Amino acid sequence: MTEPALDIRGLRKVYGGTKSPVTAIENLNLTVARGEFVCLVGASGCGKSTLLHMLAGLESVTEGTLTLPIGRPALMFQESALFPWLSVTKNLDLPLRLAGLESGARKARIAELLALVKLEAFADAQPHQLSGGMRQRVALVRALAQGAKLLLLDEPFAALDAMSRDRLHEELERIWRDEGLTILFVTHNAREAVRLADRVVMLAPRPGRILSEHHIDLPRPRRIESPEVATRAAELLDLLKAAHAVD
Amino acid sequence: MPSTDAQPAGARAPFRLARFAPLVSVALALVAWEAVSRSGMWPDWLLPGPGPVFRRLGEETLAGKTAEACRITLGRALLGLGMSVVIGGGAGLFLGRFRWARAAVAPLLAGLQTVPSVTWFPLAILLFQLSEQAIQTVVVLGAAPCIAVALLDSFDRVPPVLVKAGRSLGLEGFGLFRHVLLPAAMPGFVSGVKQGWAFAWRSLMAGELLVLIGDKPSLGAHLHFARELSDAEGLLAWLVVVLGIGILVDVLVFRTLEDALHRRHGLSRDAAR
Repeated sequence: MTEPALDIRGLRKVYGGTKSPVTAIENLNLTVARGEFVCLVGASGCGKSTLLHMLAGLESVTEGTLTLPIGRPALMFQESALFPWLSVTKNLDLPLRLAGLESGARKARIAELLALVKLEAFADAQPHQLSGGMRQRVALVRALAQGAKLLLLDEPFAALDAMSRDRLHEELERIWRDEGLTILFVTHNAREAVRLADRVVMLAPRPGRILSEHHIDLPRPRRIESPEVATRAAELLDLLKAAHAVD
Repeated sequence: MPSTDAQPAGARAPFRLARFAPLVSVALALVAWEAVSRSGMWPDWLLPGPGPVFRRLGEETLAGKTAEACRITLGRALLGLGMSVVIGGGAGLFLGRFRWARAAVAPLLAGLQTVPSVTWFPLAILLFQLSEQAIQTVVVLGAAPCIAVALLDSFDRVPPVLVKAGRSLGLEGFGLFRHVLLPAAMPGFVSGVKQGWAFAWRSLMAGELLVLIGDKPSLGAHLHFARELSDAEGLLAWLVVVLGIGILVDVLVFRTLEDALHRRHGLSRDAAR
């Protein structure tokens, strides 16, 4: 294996002061290869979001090391985190401007990004004029606009209806492959994880730690409603339930 | 500026009778006024009906007095509100950026807001005599804290996910402030300016009644002299002008501005689909 896209060693995260510290994550080790699609699955309280926020630099690390050899990652949220006062184009323009691109280059890149999620017709729309699925597609390409090769997705499709979600799975898979991205995708939905991932990492809660890892070698393209996906997902869920019973 | 015309013009509300419903209020007010005036509770020369008052208003307008009074009073209002926006907005921006400063000054702002602005006039008159400064001091003391507090409140209400989104784009410090906090706070700020206008307008009217400046026939001065001369027709005519200005500014300036901002931010009712 070449140099990884992400390497986490002995990660620990403690919230709160010295009086009543809460350990959110305990001794977490994880390596993600370049171009790999990894899904983190776990119930709430297992520190999934905390982990992504630490990787994105939004939260401090209590102990351990995070190594990001392919540079700063881009983060995408569950709820639409588009800026409501900016049009779709301006939302995409901001990260490009922050990256120091010139006007012409920005325009071209925005057109590319919109084409990637087939939203060319909505370039001038305001976020609130879009459907939930469309908003998340814009949020996805806004993450791409940051030029990151590592994408962190925090339950990005959890609030969407099944049809929009299926469509976004396809688009995400296509973009991941075509753009050569590495993806760390957090979800509490085992089927979604099996549908998308090369590898599923199961997390146990309180404190968050890795329970087990599973390579998903089902051929792509996969369908979320296929029996193979359902079977693998059910196995994973049983593992999670067993872990909770031990808790 | 991001474009506000993303919504097609055709999406505007079609012609509807409901749009004219507010006119009913005008009719009700006029009818009630006429009825009280005719009831005989007060003699005609103390409480004339709408007819004579509007006739008088017409005369004053033809004589150029209405325009002159509006120019003086609105000029003062604009100057006072402008200074309040600069001072209150500046203070709000500064206090929003620096937590310690805010903690130190917040009680002072809250205290200032509890003082009815008209009670500043005795002091303002002592310090500045009967002058423009006396009026403007009170106008700004009333409006600026209100604008500052509104701006601070709207910083507090910025959704945390937008701040996180900004930070995840690499924005920090001033960049985060400029690209996320400030635009997110805009609708709240405009509401604050609207409230500031209400304070400024009230203080100004009180000021013009108390602080009479010789060569400045303002709306307040007209009201004052109409009362001194028991000129009820004139008094009511100038009152109608004061009312009219209040309504026009509210509807034409602030409602339009708020609607445009809310539409852009997706906050208006018709934007929720």
